[in-house]
Amino acid sequence: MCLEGASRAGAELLGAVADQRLRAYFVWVPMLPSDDQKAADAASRRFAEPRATHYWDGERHLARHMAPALGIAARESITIGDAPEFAWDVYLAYGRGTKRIEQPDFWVHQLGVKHAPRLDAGEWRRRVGQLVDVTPG
Amino acid sequence: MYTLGDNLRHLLDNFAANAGSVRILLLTSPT
Repeated sequence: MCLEGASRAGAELLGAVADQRLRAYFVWVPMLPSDDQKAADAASRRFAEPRATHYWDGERHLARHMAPALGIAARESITIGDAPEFAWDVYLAYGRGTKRIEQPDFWVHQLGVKHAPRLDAGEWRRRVGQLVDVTPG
Repeated sequence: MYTLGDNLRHLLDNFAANAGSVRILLLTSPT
């Protein structure tokens, strides 16, 4: 499901939006037993693209950083025990001029979150396309 | 591929340096 989300929200979007100024940040986070740096390396090769930069967040630094910013509670992030909440399976979009990574223009997810829409690839492409088209550059 | 450290600095600097572009951030697992 997670690679599918990266494909739908990332690769398909980059294929549909020709603007060379669009930038994509793929941050790979371990969630499943099979998730390790080797798997992240393979995923980064699969989704290699001149406009894309890939990161391995093996210690979930960004995932933990983003959870409170997005209002994601532990019970929504499949956190085990009393571990801190973290964001994963989330896809965020930023218009030109935004400097703070904690403040996306909009975001979607594949979690149990109720306060943001679930990933719909067509709607995601449409809204990111609007950002590309309407913001001055 | 880069490895994120405690301060997330590489990602945050790159993100801010590209503030003139529309950007997407995909936070997900690799399998």
